[in-house]
Amino acid sequence: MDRLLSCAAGGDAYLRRLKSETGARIVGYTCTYAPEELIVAAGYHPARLYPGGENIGPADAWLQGFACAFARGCLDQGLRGRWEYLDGVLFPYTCDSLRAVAETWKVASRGGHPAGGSLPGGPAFIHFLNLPARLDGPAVQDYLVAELESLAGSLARFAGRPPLTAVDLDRAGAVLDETRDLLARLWAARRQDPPPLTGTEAAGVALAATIMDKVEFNALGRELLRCLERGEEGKAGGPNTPDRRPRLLLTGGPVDRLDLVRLIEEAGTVVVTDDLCTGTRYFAVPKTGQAQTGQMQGERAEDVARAIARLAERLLRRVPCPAKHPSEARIRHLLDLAATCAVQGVVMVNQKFCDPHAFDYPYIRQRLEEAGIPLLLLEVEPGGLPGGQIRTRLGAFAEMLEGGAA
Amino acid sequence: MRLETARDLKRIMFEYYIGTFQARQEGRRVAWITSGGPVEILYALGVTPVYPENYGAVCGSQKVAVELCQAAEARGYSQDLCSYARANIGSMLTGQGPMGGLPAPDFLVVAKNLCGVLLKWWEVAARHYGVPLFVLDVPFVTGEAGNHVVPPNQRRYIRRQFEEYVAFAERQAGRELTPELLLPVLERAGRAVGAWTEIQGLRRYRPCPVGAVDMFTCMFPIVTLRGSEVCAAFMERLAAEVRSRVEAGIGAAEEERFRLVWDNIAIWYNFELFLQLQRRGAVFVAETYTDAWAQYRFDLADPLGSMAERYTDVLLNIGFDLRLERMTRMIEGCRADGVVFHSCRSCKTYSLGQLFLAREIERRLRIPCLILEADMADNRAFAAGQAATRLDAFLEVLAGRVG
Repeated sequence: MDRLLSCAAGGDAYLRRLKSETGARIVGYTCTYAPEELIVAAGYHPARLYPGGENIGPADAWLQGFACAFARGCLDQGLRGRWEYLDGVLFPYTCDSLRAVAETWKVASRGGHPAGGSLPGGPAFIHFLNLPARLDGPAVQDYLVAELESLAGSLARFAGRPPLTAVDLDRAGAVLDETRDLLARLWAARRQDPPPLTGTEAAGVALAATIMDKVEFNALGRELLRCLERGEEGKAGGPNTPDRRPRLLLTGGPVDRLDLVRLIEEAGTVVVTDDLCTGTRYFAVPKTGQAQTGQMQGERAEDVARAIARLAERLLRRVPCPAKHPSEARIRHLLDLAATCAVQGVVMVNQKFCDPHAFDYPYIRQRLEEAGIPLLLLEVEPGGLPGGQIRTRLGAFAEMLEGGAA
Repeated sequence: MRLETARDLKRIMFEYYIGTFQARQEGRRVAWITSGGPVEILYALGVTPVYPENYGAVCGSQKVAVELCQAAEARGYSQDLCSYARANIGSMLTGQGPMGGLPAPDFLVVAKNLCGVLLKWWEVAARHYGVPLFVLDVPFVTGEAGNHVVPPNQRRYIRRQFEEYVAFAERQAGRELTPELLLPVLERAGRAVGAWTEIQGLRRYRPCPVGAVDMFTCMFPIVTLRGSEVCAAFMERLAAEVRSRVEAGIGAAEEERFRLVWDNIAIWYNFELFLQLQRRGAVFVAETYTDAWAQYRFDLADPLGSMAERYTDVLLNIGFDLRLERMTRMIEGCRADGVVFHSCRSCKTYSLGQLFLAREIERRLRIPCLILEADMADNRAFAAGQAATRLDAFLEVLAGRVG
């Protein structure tokens, strides 16, 4: 647990060490629609980029304040040179704000923008993955496969190696399938009452999964699950504490601020599950009845096209970001989790100026009302958390939930 | 001095909106479509298109957007969301608004070639009305400078969706789309867009014969009635009047001192801003927004193919380099002295990138650029005093250069 959490807390330090110790070449990405399988198959290390809690500085010269806080924060950190160790950056096309960041990054990397800052020695590989916004229909599937093939080709060329083979893809797929499976099992264990780890710890584990070397993460994840099964990790609140704290689900986009999750739990709640892109939307795989790992039955390992098609299918069938259409599956996912995890309240954590999530809020509130589950909306902006304000609102929310549960 | 032909607009708008309200009684289907949507197919099938974005502009112009937005905000729609969307959703929820709100749709069509907000907005409408929604997903055209090429797999994706769209619209309309139905619509649209393009070209003369106010108001038919005879005839009359102004040397302003370009949507509730500038000799000779409708010219020999292309590389669906290229050509073509960028809070795809564009234009073309913060329909985001001060300062800078 400690190694996982320290990676989550110090992602850059971990990645720099990984680079210097193993010679790993790192491709950063901004969104969980990034097909990590292709990055790993090409011999690179995928790492999600998170803005953290710094106030905006150089990004102000490029994107107005009404760009999404997460996107602007990522650009800002890039302009500050925080990620100069990256070998590449991948921008999956999901939302308008990150699209603007991708364009800005491309332009700023050319240098020669004294007034607007620039990306110092910016990564040599910058790829915009032109994902479809639609998730339905044969035209979408074919298009996505073509885009993924194009990315696979670019990655291989950049790596100076021959084109990716089905074996490369299957191997990478197997490692990532295990990462996702371990996280799913960990989240399933959190259904216990009381859960075996806090929401803050779980959030840290999920963050670590997107930063760490996957093989290393999988080993730690397996070990962590074994400990939990043996009852060795502390239960949330201590091994003998009867847990009356209201059980929460967090919903929203990226929540990379562990201090925020801690604040939420310090108000007297326990976060037992989530519908976040830094949580279940990263790893929850819909049950298809078909083998997700390795080859499908009777299929030749040499078939790269089939491997890419499977990858495309996973991206189309995963719990969608609200920026994709149809978006209804995410609402079903959220309601399903609320039911199976005995959730008493939902906290929505939206990035300020994130349009897709903001558009879904009234509808989600209505559906949760119908299910008898209270919802609290929090907005995250760049910079330090407005702790006092958040604490007050969370405290009131927790009290209200306790009142309901008693 | 306003254009005479513009007087026809009141009647045209009235008849258009009456038509949308009477559609159901007259046995016509009503579709809500986005402003970048291939409406020609709907007109060909006898469907009546309705434009919620235009409705947002109407709400802005009539200065009633804020109340409607507040109704949406009371339902939980963030004040940071697009004001067109909030105004329309507020109208949907309350049944209030200009003309009592828009007629309910039988189906919805969104072309995702302008922004992702439209997609979410149309989802809200689909849930509210319980009607089918068609999504035309148009991948972003990244391109490097000078390279508009849309990769073959993207072209294929868009083209296949056009075929899906036609099949969907045919099912909704209850009739088949034939060349006999489509080609006349495209031909009329071609006349209208041809005339509109000619007007943009005529504005390059000194003095510029038409300013921003006339352009922003006269664009209504080309947005909402593209493909109709009313629109084609209006545009042709408009072009004729503009031509005669050029021949007579009549300008939009009494004295033309500065030629300016406007970027982004209009500030619908404050046309006085344009008129004030015009009185001080600052004329807008081009707008990226009005010019965008010159895009929709199709090849009658390949209707679907050319439509798929023209609906792809629209202004808000191209990368920064391509936008810079287009703006540069526009500025050089009309010999502009400066650019005003309306940094519109509601419109991320239009506004994000302006800071880069402004810097590059100043650097490469050596003309001053002003960033003006506002919103197209929600005047709570507009600080009139501040804007006036900044425009004054901008005019002084221009005066110092142009003399």
